[in-house]
Amino acid sequence: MNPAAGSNQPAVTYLNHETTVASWLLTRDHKRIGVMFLVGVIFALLLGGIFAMALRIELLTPGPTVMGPMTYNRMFTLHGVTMVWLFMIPAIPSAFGNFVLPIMLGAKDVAFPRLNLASFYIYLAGSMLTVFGMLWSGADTGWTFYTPYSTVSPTTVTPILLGVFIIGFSTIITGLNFITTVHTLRAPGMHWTRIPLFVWTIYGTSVIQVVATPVLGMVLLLVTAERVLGMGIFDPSRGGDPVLFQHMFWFYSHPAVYIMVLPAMGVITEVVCAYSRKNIFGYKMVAASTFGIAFVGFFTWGHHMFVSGQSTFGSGIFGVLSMLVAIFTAIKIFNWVATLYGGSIDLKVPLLYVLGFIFLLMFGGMTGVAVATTSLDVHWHDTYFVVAHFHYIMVGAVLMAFLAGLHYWWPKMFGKLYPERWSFLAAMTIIFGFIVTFLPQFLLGNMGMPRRYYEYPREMQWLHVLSTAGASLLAFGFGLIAIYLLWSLRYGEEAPMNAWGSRGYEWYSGSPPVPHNFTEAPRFEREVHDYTVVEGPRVY
Amino acid sequence: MTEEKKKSAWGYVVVWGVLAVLTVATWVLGTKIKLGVFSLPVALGIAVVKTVLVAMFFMHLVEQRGARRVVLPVSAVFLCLLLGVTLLEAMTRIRMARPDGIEEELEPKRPASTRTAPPGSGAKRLMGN
Repeated sequence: MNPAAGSNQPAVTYLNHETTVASWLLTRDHKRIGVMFLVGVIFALLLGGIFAMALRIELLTPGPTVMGPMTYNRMFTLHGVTMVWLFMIPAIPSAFGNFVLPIMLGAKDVAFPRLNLASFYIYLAGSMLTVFGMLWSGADTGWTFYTPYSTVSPTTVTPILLGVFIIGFSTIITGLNFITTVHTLRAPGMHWTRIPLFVWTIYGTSVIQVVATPVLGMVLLLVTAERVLGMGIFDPSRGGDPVLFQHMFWFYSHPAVYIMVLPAMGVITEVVCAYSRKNIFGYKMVAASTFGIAFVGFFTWGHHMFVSGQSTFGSGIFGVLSMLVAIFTAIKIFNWVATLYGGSIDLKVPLLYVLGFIFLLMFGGMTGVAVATTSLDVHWHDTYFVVAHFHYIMVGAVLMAFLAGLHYWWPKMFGKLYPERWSFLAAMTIIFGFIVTFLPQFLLGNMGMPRRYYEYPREMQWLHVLSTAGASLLAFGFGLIAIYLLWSLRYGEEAPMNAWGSRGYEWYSGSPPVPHNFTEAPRFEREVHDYTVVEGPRVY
Repeated sequence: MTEEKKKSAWGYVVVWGVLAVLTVATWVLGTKIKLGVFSLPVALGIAVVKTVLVAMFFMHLVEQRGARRVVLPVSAVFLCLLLGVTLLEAMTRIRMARPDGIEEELEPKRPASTRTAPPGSGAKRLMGN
């Protein structure tokens, strides 16, 4: 069947074969679980976005604006906790990974469907406990829970620690499920060198999730034990070592950056291929660089600790190793650009986000190399320069990729098209709004504006006002996306079987897919993203 | 369809026995026999052996083939990485000079009881002081 011939959606899909609430809540279908994760992480994004706007409004003036200093401390903690633990880490792997990974492999489902559902409810339970802690009185430690302050803070740190601890189990289970699925459920013809690069990035991410997350769980439990039982593990007045907390925390939380970024890079690869009508340039190098990033990412955690009292020797080693990440990232960027070069470019909205991603990732990555230089980081540490750097990675890269994936797979997930013009406007608003928000923060950091400060000198105000104006644009863009995507669910045009004429393996199933993904076992006899053949992939 | 071989449970019993012996050995070496500086490496060594036994036999890693067999070494590499680099950093720290000029290291003040909770902690409130 030629997928470009028009709409030919299956009569029975995963969306309509059962429609009761219980059929969703008790489902073992990876696609429905992916959709539930998507709803969950988008809600977390909304919550984190509200906290971010509150922060930016407060910083409009040098003195008090809309809240007191203690509320401000809680607000930046809530923003960080929500965005990192509830949104960024599960966003792409748990939502899109769950939805498309088994389809890309030609599998009916993941290896452990019940465990998959459990991972969603564990995420939900952890999130609810975290939100409860926020509503009870909030924490003021920042999302990093640094000791010794987090062990004595009078705010409700403990429920939030336990909430994040529980969410960690969801991460581990999801990772375990994906690793097993990749190893055991590949369809005929899907040998290792045919695995789509999105799957490779999810696989690499899963390894990080399984190996690193237990360390986070341990350290959060130890802080809880110190708070509740008075144990002296990190408190120097009791013979503890606060730097030990930072070692254990960042052993997970720096690789966690790659838990966020690697799946984003997978999305980018899929979208670049689809809209340049070419298979990826240097498939093996892109796959290998994924594992390069995942592996080297484990050797770099100490670059967060240059001014913590860490040894000079340690700082030097960690600084040099941190720079190695740039090599593997550069391989990917080079290959994406090489794929676009000479391609038959179709500038649709997902590709717009990809171009934004590549541009902003370069900024984030290069400033990352700069702050990995110990002598520079001593000056920039805990200033807005670092805030801008990691927002360029987490928002400029990960969120752009999330939006690219959302728009690219929207017709696949829901069988609906969104309005092109509105989505184009939203994408431009978000990319421009992002630059206006965070570029001034590099300048602020270089001027010496510390992060997590409630007041600042008057001469910095114009940059803060500019940053808040950009954040307002970002909020407008996200609001626009929410409106037209929700609108499209009800009133949107029915999507054709393969809305973009893509050759990605996930388009071997219908849009939306049938309950078990395929009506017969698929055979993968062509390379992924093979555009040398005129006709599109056969829909099984 | 080939019929699966029935596996004997004796293998597991033997492994369990070894684990029990190692547990007793840990207790004996920790309480009855003083090993001095070797007590920690010996305890960790026994723990590693027990972990490997559990993973290989009770988690069936010994039956796996191909890429799945790398699970254990990969885990070991990352554990060594965490412990090794953290200890390396701690060993290469330069001690700060004391303001009074004395060269001895400051000993941390230890509370009378390790069960003393910091101010504002849940246990403090539970204990009612």
